[in-house]
Amino acid sequence: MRPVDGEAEIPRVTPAMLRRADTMCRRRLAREYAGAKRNANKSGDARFSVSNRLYEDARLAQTELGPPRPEAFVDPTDLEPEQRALYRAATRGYLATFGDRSGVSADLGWRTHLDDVGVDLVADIGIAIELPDGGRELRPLQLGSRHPASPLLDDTQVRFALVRTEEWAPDQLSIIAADVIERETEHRAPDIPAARADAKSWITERVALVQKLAIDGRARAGADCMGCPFIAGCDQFRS
Amino acid sequence: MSKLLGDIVSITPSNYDDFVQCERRFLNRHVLGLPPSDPGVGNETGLLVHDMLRLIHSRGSCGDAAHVVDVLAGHGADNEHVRQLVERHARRCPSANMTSAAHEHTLARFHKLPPPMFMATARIDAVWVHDGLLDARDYKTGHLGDEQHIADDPAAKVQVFVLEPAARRRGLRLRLRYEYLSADVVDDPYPWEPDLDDLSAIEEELRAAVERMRTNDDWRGVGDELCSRCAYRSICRDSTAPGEPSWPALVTSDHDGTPSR
Repeated sequence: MRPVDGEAEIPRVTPAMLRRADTMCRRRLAREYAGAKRNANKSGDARFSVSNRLYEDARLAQTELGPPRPEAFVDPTDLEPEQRALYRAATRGYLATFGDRSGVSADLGWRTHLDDVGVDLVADIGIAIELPDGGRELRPLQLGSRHPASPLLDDTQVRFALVRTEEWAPDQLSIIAADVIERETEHRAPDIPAARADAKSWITERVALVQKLAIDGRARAGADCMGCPFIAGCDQFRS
Repeated sequence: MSKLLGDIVSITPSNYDDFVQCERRFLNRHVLGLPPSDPGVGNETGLLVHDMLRLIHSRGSCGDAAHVVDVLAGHGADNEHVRQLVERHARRCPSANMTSAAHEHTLARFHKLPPPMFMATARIDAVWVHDGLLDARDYKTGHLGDEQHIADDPAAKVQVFVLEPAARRRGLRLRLRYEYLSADVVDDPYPWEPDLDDLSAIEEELRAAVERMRTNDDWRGVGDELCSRCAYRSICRDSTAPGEPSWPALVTSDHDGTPSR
């Protein structure tokens, strides 16, 4: 682990790393695993502006028990006109999908530490809602742009969510994934604890693979070079 | 506005083509990552044929009719239209004389100096090595576009830019060919074999484009006849063909209870 700001940085694992570790450039994988982005080239992150805003406002819309409050969705005037149009459409889609579902939002943060494998699982897994009957509901959102062959909710997301929500939803979890632009939803109600045990086992296995491939660390030029924040010093591009 | 871009701009055949056609479209699609607001022509057949050609070549030969039928049938693609497209390819496929090949392969090339830096990547449909050539193919399942000369196509320039080091390392001449699979296209455009001057000019053109991106403040749309076919025509601030997006436009209650779109 590399010390950052006086503290040891904990290795981080994302859903994308679990899905793609086998085919990723191992140099990029190693650096993303080590959490080295603080010293990396800055990536363009404007593509997340609308979804980040929607997530924030959807959480604010249910800070008190009840259905989402429409007034919590505030027109993001600091964004580009086309982004604002997307935000408004996404808000409509969100309220059409979840507008009558009462509950109060919970803050699950971005990371969960796994002691046994020594890594943080890092990702926003969705809007976490505590239902009036005590049930737990997770709402991962998408805003269009899906490849025709991509599912709305894949097994990696579900496993990741099951492990990250263990404390918050120990006995029951309902996942309602929604593409609020395409107006599609997918509902899963995993059989806990069997599904959670399977998720832990799978993630432990995949994290071991990530660690093994990260130790290799060899660079490979290709698709992962696009958007890679670790180009500086890469032996594939020394002139 | 340049703050929207990362330290190293990514250039691909698709995003460079968009940038040349309309800077606002480039911004909307590739920088802001917006989903299309307007329905376009689907490309499911094109994606399927690209996949089938990759599988056909990775497991056998496109000249082996029984093998082709097996692959297509195994993927639910054994219909007359797809068979015709594959047959059209087989007539021009150089695999019989090749020494090596790669399919659906992504190449990357980094430009550092003179600034600004950029990373070009391109997924190449097929690359064949034969007769002293690095023969790259871009399969086209649609109709022949306006580009009668491949060298005029911005997307081709990016492909050539990323392919050139691979050809140079192997001491091969580089050729890029657009292979039209539709029976509607009688003759493919002439293949392009760029010379050193072409390659030098391409690198400078791409570098200048990235410099333009870095200094761009308004990302103005072209506002011309291109708008009528643009996937963002309904929401683009500069569109000459505005309309209602296909995005959710449900009638909901406004905060004061007034129905609104």
